[in-house]
Amino acid sequence: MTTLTNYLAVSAVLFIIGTAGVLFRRNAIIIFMCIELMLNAVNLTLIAFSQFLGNQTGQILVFFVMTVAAAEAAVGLAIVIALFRNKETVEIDKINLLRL
Amino acid sequence: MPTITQVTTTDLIAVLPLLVLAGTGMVVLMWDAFEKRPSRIPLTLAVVGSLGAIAAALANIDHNGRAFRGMLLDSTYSNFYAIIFSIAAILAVLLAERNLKDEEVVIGEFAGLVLFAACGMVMLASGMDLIVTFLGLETMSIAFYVMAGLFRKSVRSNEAALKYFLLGSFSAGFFLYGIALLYGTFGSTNLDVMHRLLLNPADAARIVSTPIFWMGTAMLLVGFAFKIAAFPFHQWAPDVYDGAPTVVSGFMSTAGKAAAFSAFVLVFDVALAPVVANTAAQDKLQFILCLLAVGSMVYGNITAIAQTNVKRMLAYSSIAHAGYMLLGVATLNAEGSRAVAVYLTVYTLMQIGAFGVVAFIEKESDGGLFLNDYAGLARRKPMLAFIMTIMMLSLAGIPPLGGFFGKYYLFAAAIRAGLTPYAVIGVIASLVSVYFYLRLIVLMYFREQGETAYGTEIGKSVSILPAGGGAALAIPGTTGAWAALILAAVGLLVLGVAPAIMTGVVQNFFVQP
Repeated sequence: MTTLTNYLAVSAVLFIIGTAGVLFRRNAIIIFMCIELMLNAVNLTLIAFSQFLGNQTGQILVFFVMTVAAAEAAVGLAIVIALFRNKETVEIDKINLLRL
Repeated sequence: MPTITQVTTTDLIAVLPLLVLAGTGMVVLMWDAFEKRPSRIPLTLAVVGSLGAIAAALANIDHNGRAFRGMLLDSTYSNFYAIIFSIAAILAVLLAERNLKDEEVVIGEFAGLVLFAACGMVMLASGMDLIVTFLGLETMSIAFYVMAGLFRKSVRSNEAALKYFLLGSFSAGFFLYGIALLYGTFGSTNLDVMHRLLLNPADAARIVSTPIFWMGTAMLLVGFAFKIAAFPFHQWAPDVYDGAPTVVSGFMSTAGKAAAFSAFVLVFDVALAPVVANTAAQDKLQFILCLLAVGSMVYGNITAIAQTNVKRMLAYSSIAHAGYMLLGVATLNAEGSRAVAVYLTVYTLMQIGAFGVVAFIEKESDGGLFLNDYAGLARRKPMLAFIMTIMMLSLAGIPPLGGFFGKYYLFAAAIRAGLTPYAVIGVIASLVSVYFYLRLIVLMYFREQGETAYGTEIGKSVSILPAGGGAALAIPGTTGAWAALILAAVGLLVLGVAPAIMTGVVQNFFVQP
């Protein structure tokens, strides 16, 4: 029997994996993938709550989240490409002009 | 069977500012796509669109209700903020032509993005449902990510965009998780519903005792703190404001912050405000907010002293200003939220004005981002130096300028809410800030050009601009930029002399319908 707690636990674990990835990986694309993982972990939470509470708001919100994530991906990859054209790298350790 | 509700005329009138901004944004983008010759029409259109939004918001300012079945706020609050955002958009667009001309920036794209960002901001200020808040936040942020990277050939601009994008979407993840957890706690994402549940003592006691509520609140707080660049979630701000085109930094650090604050206030001071009835919960929430406030005020002001780059100095000072306003949010009452709105109005004018002057200097002396470049400015450019002086004095909070009254209302509200120790720290921190604001004035008026007062460190003088800045002296587009600067300066003087203009309006913020 899968309860609400199981779903919440799985999504919390996914969210933490995503957060850890953002903090510890150095490749801009992989960091971006980890952010997507975080967003999808939230989607799982939302759907679990929606099912448990018996109201649809959560599921509607998931659609909005997916749309926003797609828009973000378009802009984010464009930024990465613009940077790659100038720097030939996507390793964030190697792009450090703005550090004091 | 739920009935399908139709969009009513009332709804459409309520979102008129939003519609005007979005519509003009699309027209500007389309114009830019089909008209190949560079012209001023996109900029003019953007200004007209923002003026239209101001007019629509002014017409709606006496409203006091909800639109779209309670999802949007249509009240003095949302319309007041819509006016601030539109003014910021106008200032940014006016300053843009001069700042962006030399780079290969398609000016229409910039104008369109400013309008779309303003659109997201209006959504933030009128979001009575966390779904709307989230959409507004993302609409605004995605436009900002693009704007930060507007100088496509400049590595610094690229880097600023990447940093802002990665940290911005990272924080959006937290924000969203917060929304999900609050949805689980309340069974709804509507702020009115949350408010009503918390007003009921039995429900409130149940909700406040669940860990999910506190986790959700904390996550939302992290998301907001990122967006307003509060300590310790500020790391992106100096880098992004430094690397982004100056006029974009000005727009992001003012209107962007104001928008995040407007939603922050709606969530914490309106929806979650009834936790005040529960003393333990109130103390917990207030303590965390005050901690953020004190951290931002102290850290921002002390670090700003060490900066030799004016843009970075303004970035750190913007962190400090976020701290002052957080103190207003921490009051968890209507008076504090009014003080925040008043402060945001003057803050928008003074910060965008300061960045506008920086944009001028940066053009004229090619680089020109260091304190040294301001030495003797009063002799070379008396008018610019004068406007910068007004901005700096106002940022420092010296009467009779707008900044003083803003700070006064904030600290008064904090003291009345029993946050006296934190207000005292705030006053001390703002005294510290006088040092670095006045330092710039001293440089402009009492030092000669080339006289080294503050060393330019090697390796940091990488100019955003390509070589050949000498020719920039004769660039056109100055009229608009001057108009923007004078508008900001006059606005600060007027709001400083007659603060009643604002305080009268903000009194109607949270009147129950």
